Amino acid sequence: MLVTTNKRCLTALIVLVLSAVPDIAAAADPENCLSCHRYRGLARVEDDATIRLYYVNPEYYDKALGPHARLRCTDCHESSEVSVIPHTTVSPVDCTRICHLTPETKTEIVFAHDRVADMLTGSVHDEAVLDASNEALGSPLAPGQARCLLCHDEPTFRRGSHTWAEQEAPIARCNVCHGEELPIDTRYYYWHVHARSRPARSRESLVRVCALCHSNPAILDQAQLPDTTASYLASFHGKAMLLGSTSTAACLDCHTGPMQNVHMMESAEQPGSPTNPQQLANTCRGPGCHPTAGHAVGSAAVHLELASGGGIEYFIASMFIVLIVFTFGPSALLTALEMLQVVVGRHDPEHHRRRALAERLMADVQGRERLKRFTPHQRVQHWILFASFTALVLTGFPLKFADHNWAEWLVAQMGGLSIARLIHRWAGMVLIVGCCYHIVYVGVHARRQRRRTGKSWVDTIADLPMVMRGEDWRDLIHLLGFLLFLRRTRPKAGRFSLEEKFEYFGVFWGIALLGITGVLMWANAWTTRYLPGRVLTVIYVVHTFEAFLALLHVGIVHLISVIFAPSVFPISPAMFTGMTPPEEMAEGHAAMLTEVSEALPGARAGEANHG
Amino acid sequence: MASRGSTAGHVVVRLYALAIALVVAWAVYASVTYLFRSVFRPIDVPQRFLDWPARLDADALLQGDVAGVSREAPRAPLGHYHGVEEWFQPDPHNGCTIAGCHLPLPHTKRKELRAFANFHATFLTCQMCHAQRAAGPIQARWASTSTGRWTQAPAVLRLMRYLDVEAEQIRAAPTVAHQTVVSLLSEVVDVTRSAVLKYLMQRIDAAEAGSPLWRRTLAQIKEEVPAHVRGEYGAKLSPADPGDEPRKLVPQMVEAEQAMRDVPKTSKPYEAAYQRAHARIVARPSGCIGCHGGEPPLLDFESLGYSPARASYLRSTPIAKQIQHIQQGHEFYIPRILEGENGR
Repeated sequence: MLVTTNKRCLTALIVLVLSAVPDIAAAADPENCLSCHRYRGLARVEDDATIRLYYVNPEYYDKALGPHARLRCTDCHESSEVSVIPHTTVSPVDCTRICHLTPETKTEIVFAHDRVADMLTGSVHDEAVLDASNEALGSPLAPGQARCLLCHDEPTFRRGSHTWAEQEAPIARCNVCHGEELPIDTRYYYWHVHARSRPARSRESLVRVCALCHSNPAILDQAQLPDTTASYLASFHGKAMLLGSTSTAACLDCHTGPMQNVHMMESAEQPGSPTNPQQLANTCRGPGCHPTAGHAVGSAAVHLELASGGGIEYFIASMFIVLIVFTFGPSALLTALEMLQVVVGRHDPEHHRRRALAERLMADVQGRERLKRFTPHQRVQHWILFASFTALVLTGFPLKFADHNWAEWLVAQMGGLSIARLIHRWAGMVLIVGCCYHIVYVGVHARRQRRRTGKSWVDTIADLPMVMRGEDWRDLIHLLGFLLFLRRTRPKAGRFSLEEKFEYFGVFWGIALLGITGVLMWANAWTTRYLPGRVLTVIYVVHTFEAFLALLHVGIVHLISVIFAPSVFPISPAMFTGMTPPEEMAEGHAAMLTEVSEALPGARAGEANHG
Repeated sequence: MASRGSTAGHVVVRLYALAIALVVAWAVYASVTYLFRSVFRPIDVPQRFLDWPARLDADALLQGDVAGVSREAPRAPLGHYHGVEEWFQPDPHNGCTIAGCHLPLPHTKRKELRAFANFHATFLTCQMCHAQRAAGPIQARWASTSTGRWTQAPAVLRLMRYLDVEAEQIRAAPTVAHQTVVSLLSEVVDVTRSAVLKYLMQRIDAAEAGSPLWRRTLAQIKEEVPAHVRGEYGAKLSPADPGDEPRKLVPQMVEAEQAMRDVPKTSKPYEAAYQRAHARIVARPSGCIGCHGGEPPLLDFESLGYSPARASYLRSTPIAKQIQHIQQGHEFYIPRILEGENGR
């Protein structure tokens, strides 16, 4: 009797109090479950030290944040179990159970996800696969829980990065008519439709869902699968995704064909699968991807994993390592040994005399003019090279190191990947055009020389000051001997040292390689019409490794020699005035000093006093 | 570069050159190892693609950086359907938990009541229910969870109270009210990080005080703010004797835990440390009714910053009586009377 009275009192109280709960909650949550479940911290620790969280975000329902926002709790949870407080043991939710949706039209819609479950049955992710995956993941799904939860959680409308004000603006427009005359839940319906005009999840979020299993060692081992998340993230598509591209391909773009349901995904062995070798070209040539590509595009290695070995890309990458070690290695060694000379305070015995000579020559108007190593024309060409190279590094290397936070930040500062890509391509064009212009410039110069000297073309070109000759290699041995404390004197270099000649050659080599591969990648549709698709991945490897080599040379060897070396610090004025500091002239261009001083006997007058 | 004429200058130049040589050596090493790694070793998937908990782990609450606690969780753990967001407000000044004795979700006894008690732990200190106290109302104050010091009532409560109690003055003198509303709302946004409230704050801040737009926005704010009164305060209620500092027993608790750590539970040192840690703690906590409907009420909600309507709701809430009912061993069914024809 007492119990009955209590129940009546409580019922009355609940009615009284729940009627005072804001309308907003009542509209979205007729059963008033959120009067308790809206509290953060509504959770308990189970005996196995896991947390059972009962918190439900009320905004999801109040603000219609997702397609399930207008479901009652009892549409999914058993009413008989949750209408008693505390709830009895609650059965796992079955996503295929029937919902009786009743919109404003008052016409009941019977809806269930059972069709989706049927679709999965014939797909690569059938029940057996999902159950095995759940087991391999440590059985996060309790017995009876919907397998859907392996990929899905509470679905939300993807609204983009707009502010709430921007998101609400269209709702206000809808409400002009739908406020009173044709009342419907505008916010819910607007987003329900609008959010489906693009993927429900961001590309990164989609990849994360797939990575859950496709990067899980136990599952990969069990199903004998490669780590496709890793190879995707190393691919051009994956890197673009990491840098925030919203148009690049993510897993579902390729593994679900057009007009195909994601729940019906088939393995690549199936003839109808979009990743079947026979279908790949069609998949790549989709309207939103590479519609003008040739049929060969299907043979490009999207999931390229160099470490698995064997492919031509692996061979090329290995060759580049050898190339880098044997080109950058000696340059870096020379730079380090040069610094070591400074550390121990060692100079050529003639160093001080040459330095004094350089200072005297530079004090003389004619001497100064003759010691200019770079003409204004050459300096302008260098600045164009500098600008385009810097732009290429800043826009290209974020792609190489796309998984680093700085790369994402840098690309965001440039206004996104599409702008970075645009800058990269046009900076590349400037570099190529600049290189071509320089070749013409050298040709014109050589022509004049040839006319003046009457030598053959071969001899004229061989006489150009930037061209390496036999004596340069002897000088290299000489220099190594000095740097390794085996000889007392340095070799006497002329206007350009061996290191400079080597860098000059490297620029030609680099621009040719980077330019050709860059243009082929840019014109990928053309490339795949005339060349095998695999060429795309080969040139991608070549481009990225050659760029790395160029950055190492310029970023370390060249920058040290023109900015950070004590003989030129804080910066060599060579590219501003054409002049090289006396210290550097004495050390690296002794033959030029001698040549100029012999041509200007007046400027040598004080040599005896200073020698 | 430094003057070459002086000895100090020479030393600086030499050290500088040595540094460059070392940088070159490091660059060579780093680039070559990178190259070898990138070609000969499998690619590493960035951790953020793999960082997906299978379940919510109680121990994780004791760690510094936990998705869902110190930051918003990007996705619920596998097997949990509802969004997690930031579901628990950490309290780095709670001696009972930082000493390592109790979890931030501390209630373990009655399974069916644990969650109810635990959500109170997001806005009440443990001592509110578990400390010895004199008969009569509890003298309580708000203690900040970020600084550990006494603070004023949470902005969300002050704003709700202001909009409720001062409604007439707001209507009469909107220019005066404008600054208060914007300032309080700004504090609320800082704590709740609600996009909706942020939008309303920006809108009212940009509107001329007293204009029709201003009044419409104010009405929306008044409607929206109560939805955020759910423990996300950045502060907790704590008993406060006159002159008390909040959380003054924390060092004592930490010291006691250390003393208990390596000794048998049956030993005297353990017993002594246990007593020190639980000084002024009662075995049976205060019941729910004391605050929610008891006469005289243990807490004066209005003086703690709650609006009269909210205070009235808290004093008369059926939830506590419902729990009492359950404690008596009875089942309690939610009345279906509120569900309309279609439940919409």
